[in-house]
Formats: sequence, C-alpha cells, structure tokens
Amino acid sequence: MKILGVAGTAKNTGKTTTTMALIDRAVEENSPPAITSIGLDGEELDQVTLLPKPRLALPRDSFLITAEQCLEGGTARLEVLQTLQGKTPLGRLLLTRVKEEGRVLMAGPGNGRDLKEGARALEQYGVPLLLVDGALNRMAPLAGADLFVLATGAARQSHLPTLRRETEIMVKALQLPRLQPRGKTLSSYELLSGGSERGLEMDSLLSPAAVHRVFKNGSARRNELYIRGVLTGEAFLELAGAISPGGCRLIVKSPIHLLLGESLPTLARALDLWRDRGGEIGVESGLDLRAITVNPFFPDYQERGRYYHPRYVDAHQLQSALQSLGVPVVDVVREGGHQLWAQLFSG
Amino acid sequence: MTEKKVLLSPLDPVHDIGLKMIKNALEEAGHTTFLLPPDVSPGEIVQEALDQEAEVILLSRTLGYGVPELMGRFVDLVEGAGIRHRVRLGIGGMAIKPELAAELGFDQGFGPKTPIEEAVAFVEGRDYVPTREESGKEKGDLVGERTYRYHHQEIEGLLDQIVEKTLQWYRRVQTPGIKRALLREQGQAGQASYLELSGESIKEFFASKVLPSGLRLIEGEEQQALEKMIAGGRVEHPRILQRQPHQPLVFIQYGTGCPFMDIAHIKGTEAWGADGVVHFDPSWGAKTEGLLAGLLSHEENGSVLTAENLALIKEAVEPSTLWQVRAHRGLNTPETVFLAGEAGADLTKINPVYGSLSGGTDPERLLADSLKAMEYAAHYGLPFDMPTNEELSGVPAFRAFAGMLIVTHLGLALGAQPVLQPLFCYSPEMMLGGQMEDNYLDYNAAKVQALRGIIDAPIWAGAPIGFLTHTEERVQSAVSTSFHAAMAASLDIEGISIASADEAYSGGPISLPARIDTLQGVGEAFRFLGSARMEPTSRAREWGEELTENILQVLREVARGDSLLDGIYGGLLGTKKEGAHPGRNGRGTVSPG
Repeated sequence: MKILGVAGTAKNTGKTTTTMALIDRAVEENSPPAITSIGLDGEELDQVTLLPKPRLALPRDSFLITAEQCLEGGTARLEVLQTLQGKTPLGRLLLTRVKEEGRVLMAGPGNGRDLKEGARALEQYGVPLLLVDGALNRMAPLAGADLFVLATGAARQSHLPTLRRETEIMVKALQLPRLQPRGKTLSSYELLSGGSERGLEMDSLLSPAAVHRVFKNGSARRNELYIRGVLTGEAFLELAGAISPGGCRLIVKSPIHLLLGESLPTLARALDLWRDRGGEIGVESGLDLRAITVNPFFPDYQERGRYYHPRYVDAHQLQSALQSLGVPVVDVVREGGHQLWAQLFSG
Repeated sequence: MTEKKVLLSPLDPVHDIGLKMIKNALEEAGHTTFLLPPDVSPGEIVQEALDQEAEVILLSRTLGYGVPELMGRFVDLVEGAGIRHRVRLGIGGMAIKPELAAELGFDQGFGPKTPIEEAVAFVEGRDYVPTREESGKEKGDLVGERTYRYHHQEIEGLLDQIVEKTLQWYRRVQTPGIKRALLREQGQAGQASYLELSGESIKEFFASKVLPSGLRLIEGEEQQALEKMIAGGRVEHPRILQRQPHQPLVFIQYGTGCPFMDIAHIKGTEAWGADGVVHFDPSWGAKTEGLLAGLLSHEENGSVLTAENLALIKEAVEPSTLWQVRAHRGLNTPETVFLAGEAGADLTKINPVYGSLSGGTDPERLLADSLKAMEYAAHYGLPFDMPTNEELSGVPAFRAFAGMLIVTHLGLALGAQPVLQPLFCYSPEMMLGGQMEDNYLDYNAAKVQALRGIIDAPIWAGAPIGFLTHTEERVQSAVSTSFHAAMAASLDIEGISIASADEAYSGGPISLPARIDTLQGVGEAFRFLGSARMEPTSRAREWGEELTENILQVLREVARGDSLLDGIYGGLLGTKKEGAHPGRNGRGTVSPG
C-alpha cells in the first residue's frame, strides 16, 4: 500500500479539495481508497475562520480512519472494523469501512506514529492507497509518506512573487538528494576527519544558541554531520558560519526536519552558504514530491470587525507564478483530478 | 501516580493566570513544573522541553490571525525533535474546543472554565471524572421545606371562610371539562361519549382525521428523526447556574409548535443551565372543548397538548429537569393536569382567577374545572403555581395577590402544593403610581415581603421576570433579566421564569442564542452575588405593609359576599376599569352535578 500525503503550507490552501479530487479519481479507477486526516476535516465551518469548508464525501467500500466522536458527524454509514491504539481529543482512532456513501467527519492520527499504525492496520484489507489529508501547515506526520503533494496558494501568501520564492525554497528542500549516513549511532553525531564518531549533545538544533552549545570547536574538520532531529533554518545558518563545512556531508533525517524553522529565506541563505563554503547536504529519507496544487482563495482578516472575509487572487496568475519550479502545478478545481492523478501514478 | 515533569507556556500574557493556577494544582499533586515567561517562540519551548525532559507540555494561547499555523509548527517541531511519542500536548484558551485541538494536532484542548482538575487528570494520563458538583445536577425541589403555615391569622380565617363556601359549591356542580377528564381516566378519550362533550374541530378530527388548519401529523421517517434527535441529544453535564443553595431554580418556556424546535430549545437551555421547562400550548387550545390526539406539529406558536406530544417531550427532558405543563386558563384544565400527571410532568399551573379575568374563560366554568385539576395535581404530586399576570392588564398587585391566596388555600384544602407566583414586572400599576420611578427593587421586594408575611409558601417569580422592562436590545434585555434574577436570589425565593433576550421584541420566533444570553446573564448574576444580597430601601417594607393591608381588605370583601364567584364577577379581584374582564368561553356550561 502506498501512503499519499497532501500537505499544506497554511490553512485553506486546498488540501481537502485536492484529497477529494483524488478520491473521485480513485473511484473512477474502481479502487476505493482509504482516507484519513492528520487534523480535522469534513466539518461545515472552519474552526478558526468560521468560513465554509469543503465537505468530504466518501464512496461505499472506501476506508476511513477517524475518531470515535466523529462517527455521527456525517451522513455516511460506517462500519467499525478495528479500534486503534492512537487517541485524539475527539476520542480513540477507529478504522472504519463505508457501508453507505455520504459525508464524513474526519479527525485522524495527529502524529506519524499513529498514522503508521493506521496504515499497518489497513494492509490486511488489501487497500492499495491511503490518502492523508494534511492539517494547517503541518508536515511532520507525513514524513513517512511514499508520495507527496504540496498544497499551497493565496492563503499562504497572496503576494505572488513572495509565494513563488517561498515555494521555490520548499521545493529545493523537498528535493534534496538522499544520502546514507555512515555513522553507527542512531542519535545525531559528527564524524571527524580523523575517523572518530562523536555523538552530539542534542539531536535537534533549534536555534543559533543550540549550535554554539553543541559545537564548541568550530574549526575542527568534519567528514559528516548527521542531524536526527530538527535543524531549523536559523540554526543551520549559524552552523554554516560557525563550523567548517568544507568536505562535510550534512545529512538531515528528512526534508521536513529542515522546514520547521521560522523563516524560509533564512533556510535558503543557509543552504547557499553551506554549499558556497564547500559543504554537501542531503537527507536520509526523501520525500517523493509529485505535484503542487494551488488554491486562489484566501481568508482576508478584517482587523476592525475581527472576522474573516473570503477573497481570491487570479487563479491563472497563481498557477503561472509557480510554474518552472520543476514540479507540475495543478489547479484541481479548474482542471479536475485527472492530471494530478497522472502525475502521481505515471511511472 | 507517577510524578510528571510539566512544561507550561503562556504564549500570550493574558492567559498567564490559568496556567499559574494549573501549575499550583500540579505542584500540590506532586508534579514538577516549569512555567515559561510569555511570548517565547515554538522553538524555544521545544528546546526547554528537551532540556527539562518534559513529559507534558501545556500551552495557552488566544486564537488570532496566523496562530493556528504557529501552533501547527510547534506540534511539528515536537514531532521532528523525536519526542512526540513521549510528550503529551495540551492547549487551552478562549476559543479552544476538542475539534480545534484535533485540528492543531494536540492531544487535548481545554476551553474556557475548564476545571483545573481536568488539566491535572490530563497530565496524569487518566480519564477526567467530573466531580458531583460539576456533573451531578439533580432535579430541583420548588416546595422544599416550606410549611404552608400562615403568619397572618386574620387572612387565614378569611380564606377558610371563602374556601369552605367554594368547595361546598364545587361538590354540587359538573362541567364538560370535568366529565371529559373522567372519561379520559377511563380510557375513553376520543370515543363517542367524549366527543359529545367536545367542540366541532375535535369531533371532526376523530371522525374523519381532518386536522384543524395549521396542524400536521408527524409520522414515519420524520418521527424516527425526532426519536434519533432525542437519543443523540442527551446533555451529559448540564451547567449549574446557582452558586448558593438559596439561589432560585431557573425556568424557561418552550412552545414553538414544532417538536423539533421545542426539543432543540429544551436541550440547548438544559445544557446552559435551565433547571426547568414550561410547556406553552396554543391559545386556541384554551378555547376548544376537548383535546386532539397524535404526534402533532403546529405551524404557529404553541405546542399542542396531546398525550403523544407530551410523551415525546418527557422522553427529551433530562432527569434533572423540572417539567411543567400549564393548565391555568382554558376549557381543558382538568384533562390537561390528568395528562400531565400521566406523562410524568413535575409541575402544573392552575389559577382560575387569572385565567378567567385575563385568560378569556368564564369564571364559573374555570373555577369548577380548576378545582378538579387541583385534585389531579394532588393525586399526581404535581405542585402548581399560580401566575398573577392580570397585573399586566392593569390589575393592582394586591387584588391579584388576594386571588392567588384564595387559590392557594383552595389547593391546600384539596391536598395539593400551591406555589405563589408574583410578577417581577414594570406593571401598568407601577407606571401610573410611580413606585418604580427610582428603582425596580423596592416594589418587587415589597411583594415578596407581603406574601412571606402572610404564609410560608414557595414563591416562583414570573413570568418572565423583568416583564415590561425588556427592549428590542438584546444586551439590555439580558442584563435586565439578570438583575431581576439577582433580586430574586436576594429575596430567597424558590424559582424564577426567564425570557430569552429577544422574546419581548423578537418579531418572530425566539432564538436559542438569545435564550443562552439570559441564562448566561443569570449565571453571572448568581456568581456575582453568591451569598451577598441586594438591599431594598425602607420603602419596600412600607409598601409591603400597604400591600398586606389591601389584600386583607379585599379578602374581607370577598368573604362577606355570598360566594367567591360573586367576588370575581363583581370585580373584587380585578375590575373592568383595571383591565380585568370576566371571560366568556365556556359560559353556561356548568351544571348541577
């Protein structure tokens, strides 16, 4: 079974619309998929903006992982197949099968471990595809996905040149090459040029201060640096200046572990500086980014009335702005799910 | 219990206090806590969690633009740092609900007014069991320890005289309403003997199943949907509005005509703290001899009285909710109380004086019917209240109270438990007399003081409190209601009926949010006062004494007359000039029994 993660760069970037287009396409292929969400989907109104959300309808015989309290939240009739270990604020996770098609409310595993457990439970039913609808800008639970779609759009950034720049940085991170760590330990470590392996004080480097705490000897020559946890852009930039990257392979666990900092431009500067100073960078586990989907909608916050107003950027301009990043860009509302499906499953 | 290391981070300063309270409770429970200063970044929180090897992180944050993404990044950082499997995440704040916590990726969300103990239970990884105070709402008791002893011997003596004559008269009369009730008791409702005593629309319904205009039978899928709605709409932890035992029970009224809407209003108001609900039937029902049958929807105001409709409502109300079915003003009074008793109602409403002077029913007919209804109320153990809404027509309070005390004494003589219902209102009498020129407190306090000085009986102010003080402005209306509720609490009365904030000027159906406005307002008033009291000025005592004296004068006049009915028809309990007009419905239907 393949896990397809639809991650967003922000709320309202079209994750659920993308997921729904893929469900429709899977049904056309006579292959009802399994669905889940790492947040909450299928509700009538957004929990934050109170604007209408796309409802989520599932066909008969598809599978759904959702929380106990969501069972009565839709019109579909669900058969509970298994109670999973994972819990959410809306109750324990359940593996269900749709007996009668209809709308569903979906609150799935909020972390990667529970998502993997759900995927394992699904394997016994011979399901070929698990679609995972993302939540907000969250990506970490999707680090183990086999296929990856990035949903972005005006809700992330309505200034299109800025959106393009941010997306470009994300794509660069997501397409970093895979490198196999040579070290023996499971934790973060450094391989010094003399061949000795030394564990780092911390698995994650979250801030410039953490870099200075861990790397007291900046001039030491390193062959390899493996960061098992998070390396934020801010810490990375500090690292690129504080130690000697020349000849050093920097391996981060996954692209997502690089994308959790505060500023994407800082990450871009860090990547450039690391490479400019002779360093190499890659990821232990890559993500197979197959497509970017775009949504022109954005909730415009009205400070005076403290409410959100629905607004849109030009859909054509949005799509054009993100072309030529080396990843197909799809507007599933205008183009339907066929092209996206082809990008995902051709070859 | 294993000691936990808990990191607490107020992401904005306004929520500092909640986390500080949780921190104290956690430390008392033996946990180690680390409270971060406000405004630290997600990365700094995660770094601290790593350094302290925290097992639980509790954040508080007001939601705003971009905040969900900030929270999402925090949760991702926890997972990316490889500690999500051993760190439990909780978030609290004004807009936090379980759904939002799920969306953000937290393990639990804590909304406003979450008990501290719930957060402690989360930290300790156990299910939160609400304390009895939080969940164990029990059905209220309006009568309580009231003894029905008179403190005013002359009034008691006058009432004895009036009641004795009235009951002697009652033993000698019959009405179609009483006969129908007896037939219903024998299971003959809807049969020929019953229909002979019923109006044309009732006869037509039972003969041809044609419903009067505006009514519709609910059956099939629609009925199943209603049952599903009831089954799925239980209120697990109804709010308790009262902070102190002396604070009054709070009643709302329902009667949209539509069972779906009624149930929605009942469940919504139960959840927000209503202690009791009052069934309002259509005004035409009071003028029609006989009752319909079946599960009926009415497209106008008023929910139709049938055994099936009442059974449905009974199924919907929570065990902790007091349920009242009104029977105070129409031609079906005895049958209604019989139906209410059979359906499992807790309370009813009977007042032949108000019902005949302002309700449109003939006094002789309603008096006889009401006495039969009181017998049913006694049999089924239903305390009944006596609204004195004739005040709204312009009848002075002392006359209305004299009538109410007569009905009280009649009820006691028949073994029932009457509940006094003075109006907390800005009545025409007050508008003309100026007693409320300065404040709304003194005269209402005078009413309660007068009644308490006469008899030790339960008092349920109505209906609703603050009548004629409300405007089309919802905040004003809710505030007015809550002040009146605070006054009721200060006067140690047993119950109050409240309006929704849009009731007086809704221009259409009243809305559940407006009901919640007033319930919230009343809860805040009770919270504000606690065991403190509002204090009326010395005029309350003066006016109370004046009221008592005037009541006494009226009762002397009634007792001097040949019968209570003479007093009612003759204007002793409200004159035509004051707006009390003896009703005509059912006139001439009382026969020797």
